[in-house]
Amino acid sequence: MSLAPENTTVKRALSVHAAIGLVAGALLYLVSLTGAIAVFYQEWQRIEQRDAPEMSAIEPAAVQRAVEAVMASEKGKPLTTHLYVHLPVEPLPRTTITTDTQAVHVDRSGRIAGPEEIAWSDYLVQLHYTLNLPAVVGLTIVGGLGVMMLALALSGVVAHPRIFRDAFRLRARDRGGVGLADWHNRLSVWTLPFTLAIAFTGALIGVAYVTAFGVASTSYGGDLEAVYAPIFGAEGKPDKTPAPAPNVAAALDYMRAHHKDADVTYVTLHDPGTAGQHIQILGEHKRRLIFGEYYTFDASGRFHEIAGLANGTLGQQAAASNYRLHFGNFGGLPVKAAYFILGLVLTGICATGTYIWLGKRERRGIEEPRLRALWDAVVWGSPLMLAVTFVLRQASGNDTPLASVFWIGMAALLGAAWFAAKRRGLERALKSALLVSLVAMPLAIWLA
Amino acid sequence: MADMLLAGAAAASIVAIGVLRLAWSRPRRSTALNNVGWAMLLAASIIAGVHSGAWGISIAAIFAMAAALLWLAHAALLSPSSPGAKVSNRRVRMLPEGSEPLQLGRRLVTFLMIAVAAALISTAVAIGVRALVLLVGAAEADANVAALAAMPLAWTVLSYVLLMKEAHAAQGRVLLTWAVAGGAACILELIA
Repeated sequence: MSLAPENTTVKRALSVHAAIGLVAGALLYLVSLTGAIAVFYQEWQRIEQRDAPEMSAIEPAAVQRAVEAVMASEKGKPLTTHLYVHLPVEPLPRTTITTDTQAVHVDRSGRIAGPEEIAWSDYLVQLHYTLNLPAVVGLTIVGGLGVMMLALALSGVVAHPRIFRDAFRLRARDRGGVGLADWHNRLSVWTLPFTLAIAFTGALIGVAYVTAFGVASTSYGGDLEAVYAPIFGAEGKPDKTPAPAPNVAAALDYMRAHHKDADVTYVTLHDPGTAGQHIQILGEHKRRLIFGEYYTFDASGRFHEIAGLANGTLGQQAAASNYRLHFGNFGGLPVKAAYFILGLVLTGICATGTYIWLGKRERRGIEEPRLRALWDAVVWGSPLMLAVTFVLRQASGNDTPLASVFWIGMAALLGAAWFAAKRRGLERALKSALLVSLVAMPLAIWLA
Repeated sequence: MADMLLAGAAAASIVAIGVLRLAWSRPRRSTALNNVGWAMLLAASIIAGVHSGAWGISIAAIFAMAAALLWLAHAALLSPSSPGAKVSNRRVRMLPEGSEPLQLGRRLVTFLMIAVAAALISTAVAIGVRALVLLVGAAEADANVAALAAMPLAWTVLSYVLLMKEAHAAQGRVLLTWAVAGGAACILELIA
C-alpha cells in the first residue's frame, strides 16, 4: 500500500498551490523579505541612531529619575495611558522611555538625552506587520497572508509525490527549468519546520483581533480586554484622580533581591500619574521561548502578583511563546543569524514560485514579457526600495516620509516594468541599481 | 551536564540528516538507514525537549535545518551544468490560454470565498473550539488561547479543502457545512 496521494489529487494540489502562490505571491515575498531583515530590529536601531547614550545596566534610582522627568515634560498635556521603560539589553544597550506621544533616550544617571530617532527601523517593522496600512486592517491582511503560507505548505507537500525520492537532489546549474524547480522544492521541504513556525505564529498574531472580536462578542459582552486578561493579566481599575509618579525604583529593587534569575527588560506603567496606576515589570527567563513573566506591583512598588506566563497554564505559556518563536530573538545572535538566513531562503522560495510558473508557460509557447517584467520589479525592486529608503533616512533625517517613498517607488518600478516590458535589460538594470544601493548604505552611514 | 544534553541533541540532529543523506545516496534508498535517520531526529527532539522544553526543540530543529542546507549546498556545487532531466510543463490553469475566457467573475467569487467567507466561518469554528475546551474542564486562559490558535488553522484547512474542489456548487456545500457547525457553536456559546 502506497502512502503517496493519487495522481488526480497531486495535480489538483499543484493547481491549488499555484493559485494561492500567484495571487498572494508579491505580498508574501515582501512580508518574507522585510521579516528576514527585521530580525535585526534592535541592531538596526543602533546603526540608524548612533549617538544615543549606551550602558550595560542602569540603577533603579536613575530609572526613577528618568520616569519622573518624562512625566514632568508632559505636564499640561493629556495624560499618557502607558509609559514604557525599555531597559538596556545586550543587542540594544540603551534606556528608552516611550509614552503615547514621545520616545526619548535617557543616560545612565536618568537625565533625558534626546529624542529616539529610529524612523527607518520602525517603518521596516510596520511594513512587515501591517504593510503600512492602518493597524487592525494591515495586521489582519498580513495574518491572512500567514494563513495562505500555511495553505501553500500543505498543498506543496501534497503536490510533491517524489518528496523523499528527490530529498537531496539539487540540479542547481540546469537552466531548462529543472534547476529552478529543484531550488524551490528542496529549500521548501528542508526548511518546512521554520516555515510552519513562522507562518502559524504570524497568522495567529495577525488575525488575533478578528478572533478576539468574535470571542468577545459571544462570551464577554464585547469586551476585547477580557479575552486577553486570563492569559496576560488584567488591566487595573482606572481612577483618574491625579497622583505622583509611582515608585519604580522600589519595584526594581524588589526584582533584584527576589528574582535574580530573571533579566528585567521592560517597566510598564499603566495609567501613570493617576490613583489607578500600577507598575508591571517584564522579566525574561533564560532558555525559554516565552517573552518573559509579568511581575505586577502597586504604585508604592509593593509586589502584588505574577501573570503566570512562565509556569501558569499551558495556554498562557504557549501564547507567551508565540512572539519569540516568530521574531527569532530567543537565542542571541546565533539564532538571529539562523532566522535571517532561513528568512532569506523563504523569500527565495516565494520568488522562484512565480518564475517557475512563467517558465512553464514560456516552454508551452506562451510568452508573458509584461508579467515577467512585473515580477522582476517585485523581486529586485523591493530590496532596492528598502535600501533607497535607508540611504534617504541617513541623508535627510528622521522626518523623511519613508513609507510614502517606498510605495511610490514600487509603483513607479511596476509602472516602468509594465510600459518597458518588451525592452530587454530591465532585470539587469534593477540588479545593478540594487548593488549600487547596497554599496551606498554603508557609505551613507559613514557620511551621516 | 545539562549543557551536554543540549549539545547531544544538536549533534544528533546533524548526524540524523547525515544518515538520511547516506540512505538517499544508495542505489536503492536504504529503508533501514532511513528509519535510523528519522528515529535520530525524533530522539534529538525528545532529548532537547527534556533539557529545555520548546526552546530546546527549536534549537535542535535549527541545527537540523542548517545541516540539511549544507548538504543541499554540497549538491548544488557538484551539480552538472549540462541539461539533464526533462522538466514538467504541467498546466495549472491559472491564466487562460489561446481563446479561453478569463472567467473573472468566477475567480472573484473563489477569492471572496477564501479571503472573506472562510475567515468568518473559521472565527465561528474557533468560538466552538473555545466552548469545547471549556466543556472538558480546561482553564479559561487555555480555552481563549485554543480559540486564537484554532482560527488560523481552521482557515488554512478550509481554504485548502475549498480550493481542492473544482465546482462552486461543491465549494458552497463545504462552506455551508462548516458555517452550520460554526454557527451552532456561536449560538451555544451565546446562550450558555
